[in-house]
Amino acid sequence: MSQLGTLYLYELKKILKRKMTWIAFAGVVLAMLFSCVEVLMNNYVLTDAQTGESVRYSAYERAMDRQARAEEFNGRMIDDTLLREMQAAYADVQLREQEREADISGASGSSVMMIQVPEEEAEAQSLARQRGRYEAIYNYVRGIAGNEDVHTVDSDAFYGKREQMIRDYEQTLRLTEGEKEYWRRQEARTPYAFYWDMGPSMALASFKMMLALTALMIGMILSGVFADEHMRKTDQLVLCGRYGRGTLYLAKLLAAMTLALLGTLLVGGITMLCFGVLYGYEKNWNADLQIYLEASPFALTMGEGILILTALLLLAAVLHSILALVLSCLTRNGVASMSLVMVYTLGTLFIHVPQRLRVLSQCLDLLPARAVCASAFYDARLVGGGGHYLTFWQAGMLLYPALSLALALLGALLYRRWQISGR
Amino acid sequence: MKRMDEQTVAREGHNGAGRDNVKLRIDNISKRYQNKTVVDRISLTLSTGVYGLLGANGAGKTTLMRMICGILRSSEGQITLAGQPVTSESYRSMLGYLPQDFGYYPDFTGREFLLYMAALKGLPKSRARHKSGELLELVGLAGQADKKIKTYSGGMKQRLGIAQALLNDPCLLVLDEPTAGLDPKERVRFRDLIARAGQGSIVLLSTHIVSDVEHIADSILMMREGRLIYQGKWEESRGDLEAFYLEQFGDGQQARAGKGTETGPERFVRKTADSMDAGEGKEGW
Repeated sequence: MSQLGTLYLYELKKILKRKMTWIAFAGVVLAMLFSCVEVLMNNYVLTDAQTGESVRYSAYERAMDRQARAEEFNGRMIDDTLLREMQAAYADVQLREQEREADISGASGSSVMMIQVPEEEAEAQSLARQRGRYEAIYNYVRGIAGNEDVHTVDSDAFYGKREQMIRDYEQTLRLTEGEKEYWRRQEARTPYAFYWDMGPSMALASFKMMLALTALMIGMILSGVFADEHMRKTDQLVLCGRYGRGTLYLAKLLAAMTLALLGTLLVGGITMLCFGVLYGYEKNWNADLQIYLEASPFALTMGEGILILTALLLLAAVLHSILALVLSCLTRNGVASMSLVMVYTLGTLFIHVPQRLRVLSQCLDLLPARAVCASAFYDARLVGGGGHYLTFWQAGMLLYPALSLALALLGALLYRRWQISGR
Repeated sequence: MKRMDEQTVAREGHNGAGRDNVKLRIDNISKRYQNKTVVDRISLTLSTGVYGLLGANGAGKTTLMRMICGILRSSEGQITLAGQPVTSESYRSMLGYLPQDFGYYPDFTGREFLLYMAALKGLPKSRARHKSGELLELVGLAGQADKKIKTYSGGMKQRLGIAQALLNDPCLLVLDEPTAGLDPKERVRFRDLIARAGQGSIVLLSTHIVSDVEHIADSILMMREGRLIYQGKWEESRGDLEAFYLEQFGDGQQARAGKGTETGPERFVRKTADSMDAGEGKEGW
């Protein structure tokens, strides 16, 4: 073991000297940067309902405009007072469900805002300003209360509807009585405060992309660790070395995990920085998760949600790095092992298992590609029984290191049995 | 207790002390692939000296050497060096191996490659640096030590391979077709190097070129179809080794062993190399 440090540095050097490593790093960073700013490349055309005149906005201008208007409500409880204020501002508005007939081109939605225009110009402008102030609150409440009730709902009905959304989803997820009981025991954090959550919510939403890209990056840079030794026929030299079978495996493993973690931190850091610069985080870290994920049963803040997903992302990076190494050791072919990592990543992202197959569906949803994303906070299914339960992220924190260890041991076994023949 | 013995053996191996007593024991070793037997029940005990392993292509030389180096598991039998089993770390710490056909890390320099191999062999950093420099000088690569291996010629790569095999002053040096890719001048230099290494180690040198071993080998091992068909010292009174080799492999084998029996260009190479034994070949690589 005395040479572990030296061998580790050489293994890092071997990986970093491969062109593929730098291509993968650069490609993933660029793709992530693009995904951060891609939404800002859209343009919106806002048409005045009265005059029919159109004004063109960039997505960034629109986001900043909405943010400026919404920030005055940061930290205000969503209670009867706020709901009444919002409803008064929108008193002249009636929503009607229609076919997609966007009044705001480029925005998605299937409802059209019908505005009763007052006779007086000044009054019309005043009401329009009020609507603008409460737009974010209005949209949030509408998401839970629905188009019809948004104008009349009080806080009891609002939180009741949210509770009902959670219960309905519990049925869809086929929760057991024990699981339902677990969630009943969770402290209800109502009423909760409104925050303009653009920064944290964009950061939360980006985890799925981050996971997919880092998994592909890890597959690309690490699939050659053992395969290249075989392809280059250097394996017969290293295996004859005193530390060629045991310590070398550990050195390769540590080097692979280091680069996977560094790459993931780099991608994650750039993403967080990007959203921070664009939208700012400020106090919004403390916003309840429900501001972004209305029907999530988790009593967490946005900041806690981001920290949990970051921890899972890093653990997943370690798991994926070891998976890539084991596949490299097993196939002794860089292209084959890289392809297998891609098949695994894309496969787990896109395979759909019906909720009625509860065990299979839950197992699949615990895999990193499905658990390391914001929507996982809707998943109320628990792992365990007899009153001792773990949520998806608690299970992930235990499962990923356990799987990593099992894969590392499997890899060690495969490497110990590595034979040189048939050349 | 066992650990202590292993350390003692390894230490003795590095220091050169007690090497004369170190023995490589090969006991009834075989390698079978499904229905084909590649190495068939070979038993040997080798002590310090140079052993030339001769045989035509496909005779099982490389398979036997891989089993001796612990990189290919035998179907049956045991191999030990100074009592240590072939699978042990202490066995590998006494081993130097130059494979027949092997690769490098193209973006490493010659020096980096040797330092990496030295770390794998367990040499402390200061000793690794000193030994690498010494060996680069010995194989004539001191001037190119800091150039990337991908810029090296075939012969330079082969010399680097020889240097890595000697890094840990091995008790057992296994060289599989080591002169492949070397020009006549380099071959002669290489023979001298092997002869020197054989004074304190067990050197097992495989080739199908008779002239590579007839001058330097203390003993000859000859393989055919996985079996050892000759083992012992070659004395001039027995006649020409090459003629004996040809006789053993017969007409049918001769075609396969064509390169090895030095017909045509190989015969020329041998003569050129032999003529260098006397003079210019000793000047350097």
